[in-house]
Amino acid sequence: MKRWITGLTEPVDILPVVVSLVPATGIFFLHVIQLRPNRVAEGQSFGIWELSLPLLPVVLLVMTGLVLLVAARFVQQAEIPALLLWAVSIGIVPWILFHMAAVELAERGELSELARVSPGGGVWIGLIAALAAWHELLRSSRGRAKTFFVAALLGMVGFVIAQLVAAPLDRLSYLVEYNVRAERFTQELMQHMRLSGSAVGLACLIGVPAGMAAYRHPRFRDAILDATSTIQTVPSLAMFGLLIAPLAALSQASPALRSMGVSGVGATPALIALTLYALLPVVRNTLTGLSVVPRSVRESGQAMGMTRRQRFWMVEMPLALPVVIRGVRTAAVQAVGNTTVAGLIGAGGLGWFIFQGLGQAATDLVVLGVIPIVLMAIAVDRVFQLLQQLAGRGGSGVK
Amino acid sequence: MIGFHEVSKRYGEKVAVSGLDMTVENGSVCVLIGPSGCGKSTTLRMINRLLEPDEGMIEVDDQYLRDYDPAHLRLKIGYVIQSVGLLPHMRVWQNISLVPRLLGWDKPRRRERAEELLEMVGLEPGEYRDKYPAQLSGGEAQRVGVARALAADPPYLLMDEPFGAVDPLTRASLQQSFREIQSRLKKTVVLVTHDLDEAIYLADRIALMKDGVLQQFGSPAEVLTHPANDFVREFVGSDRMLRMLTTVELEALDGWSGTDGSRPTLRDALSQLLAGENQTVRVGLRDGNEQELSFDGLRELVQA
Amino acid sequence: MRTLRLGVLVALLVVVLVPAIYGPLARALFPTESAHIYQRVSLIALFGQHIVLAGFATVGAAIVGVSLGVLVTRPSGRSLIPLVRDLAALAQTIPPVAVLVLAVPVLGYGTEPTVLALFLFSVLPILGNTVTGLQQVDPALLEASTGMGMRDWRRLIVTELPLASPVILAGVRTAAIISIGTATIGATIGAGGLGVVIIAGLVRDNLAFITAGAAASALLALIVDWFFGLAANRVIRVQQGDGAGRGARR
Repeated sequence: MKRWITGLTEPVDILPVVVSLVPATGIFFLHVIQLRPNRVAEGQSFGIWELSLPLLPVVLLVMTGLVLLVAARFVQQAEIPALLLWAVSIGIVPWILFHMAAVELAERGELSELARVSPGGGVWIGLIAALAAWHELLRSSRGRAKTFFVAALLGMVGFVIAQLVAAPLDRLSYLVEYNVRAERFTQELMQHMRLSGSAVGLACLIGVPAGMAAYRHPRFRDAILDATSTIQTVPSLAMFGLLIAPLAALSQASPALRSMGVSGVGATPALIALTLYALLPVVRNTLTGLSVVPRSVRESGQAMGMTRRQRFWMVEMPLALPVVIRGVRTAAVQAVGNTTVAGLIGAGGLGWFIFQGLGQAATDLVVLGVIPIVLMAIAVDRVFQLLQQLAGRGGSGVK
Repeated sequence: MIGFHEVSKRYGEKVAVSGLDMTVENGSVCVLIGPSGCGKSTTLRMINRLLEPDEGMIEVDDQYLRDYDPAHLRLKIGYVIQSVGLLPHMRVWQNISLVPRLLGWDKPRRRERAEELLEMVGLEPGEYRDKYPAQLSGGEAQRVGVARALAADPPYLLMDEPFGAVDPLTRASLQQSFREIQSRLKKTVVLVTHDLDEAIYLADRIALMKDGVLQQFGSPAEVLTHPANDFVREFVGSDRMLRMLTTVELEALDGWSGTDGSRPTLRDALSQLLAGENQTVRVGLRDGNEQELSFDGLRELVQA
Repeated sequence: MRTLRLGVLVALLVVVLVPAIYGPLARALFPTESAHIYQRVSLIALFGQHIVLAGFATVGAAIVGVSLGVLVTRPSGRSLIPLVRDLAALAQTIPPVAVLVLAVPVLGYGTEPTVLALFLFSVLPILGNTVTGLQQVDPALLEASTGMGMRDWRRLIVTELPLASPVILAGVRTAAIISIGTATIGATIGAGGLGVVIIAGLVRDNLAFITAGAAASALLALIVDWFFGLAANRVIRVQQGDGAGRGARR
């Protein structure tokens, strides 16, 4: 960034400038709200210029001012209140504009019984920029500053949620869609969790012993690793597909299996495929985890008089645990994602909403399916990250 | 020549180099030495503009460094660092001929030059030319590093602890090779080391630094016999006269067996005297004379 | 051994793609199906589409990802590195399907949106790997290169990129495999590719179709991976491994 703008000799930190400019651009040039009279009709999008939003000039002026101010100030270690103001406005202003737009549309009488609104591109971009801004803020702050930021963040989220329960934002398209299908949603949500959970569980039951075997018997190591990584290369839909035919044949041939619920389509091939995919991270990480236990530690266990088995369970496994958990974490996150595709072969799960939505050209349905999946994946990732840290704390710092 | 004029460099609060003023004559070896953090490496890296001084001016060949384009300057200055920095994805000859390649030499000329240099640093060209750095031992890699620095025949050579990372035997061999090459090529060399013996062996001039300030700038003999202040005195140690012995070379020494190419010094003569039962030992001096050297005679020669 | 594996894969692929061979095989395996060869489009054409989809996306992502990675590791872009790293980590958490599907409201249905979504999704792992690869180059090598008179551009091409190439290549490989996998699902948003056959089979309950499409896409992925494996070995050999520039080799 040019010196003459900031009058400073040090390079300007690019990140806050980019993060400030992006939502501003979005709001000025892109749409803020989209209105649709019913689920499948073409939507009509409005930018801020097409609506007569009250206080609009004021809001815009404030935002522009903030952006420029903080972009320059950032180089000189901005104060907490200034930073807070900046981050909150980046997050809230797009949302407020959306709200104001929704209110105006309601006043115009456009929000009939079936109508729904969704945020426009400008708001989405603002949301993404806000995520980046908050991420950076939370990442680089400590102590009291961090507490302030977290509180502010929670406040903002609460504010948004509060708005969602009342008119006019209860017409938010995704909420409308959800309300119509609340029961099915819960059902598929449960099914999604069941499928991914079982797959990961099975993968651990099979994979951890397999990893241990690979560790103890180096001859098998290459074979096992090769097999599991080959599985990973295969596209998930293809994997599902390849299992359908054999399973169908199997279930036809054996009435016993059929009565257990084994069939060509549905949950069976899905579960098997998901488990197969989850195997690689678990096996490979078990192997790595055991391999990096320092020799000195192993030898002292031996010197103490432990048997091979005792050494394994009391020394090697606990030290390997954080790495193993990391493998399970990867497997779990991927499983949540892969289970999405299970919706295509009739196994249920949130993928059902996605593919239904795609088939009917109903985007809200699609979003209703996708967002929970993404959130679930992130949540699972964080939870396992926590477990990893807990397991690592008692250990030797083996990463 | 390389001239420092009141050069200073700071890192925030810490002063790395302060008021450095000295001149390195063409064709001489100047060794920068001192305790850790004395500013010797910083000084070295200001010569090829990897660092810029905060105050003062440095000139090379009667032109101020500031007037040179940095990359252009560095092509004229060979640079050898302790970890060598050979590019692992290139063969030895390709590594050596990197600067010529930057200068636009054609391939046959580069290969030829690489082989020439390998021979100069004591590595059999046929054997080493096509090897990869991973296949070299520490000493071999160092030699290749020196060859690389000399490839474009630069008038100047900067070396930062070049022989530090190898075992003592290899180091001695490398130092000896360096002396031979230098006696042939007469480059202007600035070398950083923390090893006083190495400094004494290799230097025409020693620049002893402490906390960024130049303590003494003189020949090894001067520094050893006339330390400028208490710090220098302490640094060279109370056994400085023993060190002084190594600065006087002899043409021949009775009963001495050394590696070829190296010459005996007064230190070896003393060693012989101490080991034997005679009062004297037969030596041949550099001026051609021969002498039966006694302990007193030894003292005379050293103090001269 | 490796060549044998490639041979087997290619042979199987031929079996599946060529109607003259697959027809009789399918009839033998799935006697009860009404149709055995997908008639609307030839499997070979779909195969070609699939390669184009994933190929364009991966090549584009490689160009953009490596360029951005280089820019971010230059002094002026340093402040963006933590964000890039976290974005790459986040991208690993988000299912590729989600990105593909979310592209629809924004970009519509068809081939272009699919390629774009694949491209966007592939950029992050490549970018992340480029940054990691460039950052792990031994600083001594960088200093030696600058010290001998290389300008920044030169140094990038002669020293940094070659040494970072194994990691970068691994990123491109990952991106390619994921692209092939996700492109399979692209059939649901009208993109063509081998997924079309699988979906057709699912809809009509036809095992012959399902197996053909699934096998073809699986084999495509495995064959592409084989080639990447070859490239990876070649690159590592040129590298001659583990920081060999350090002189201290005992």
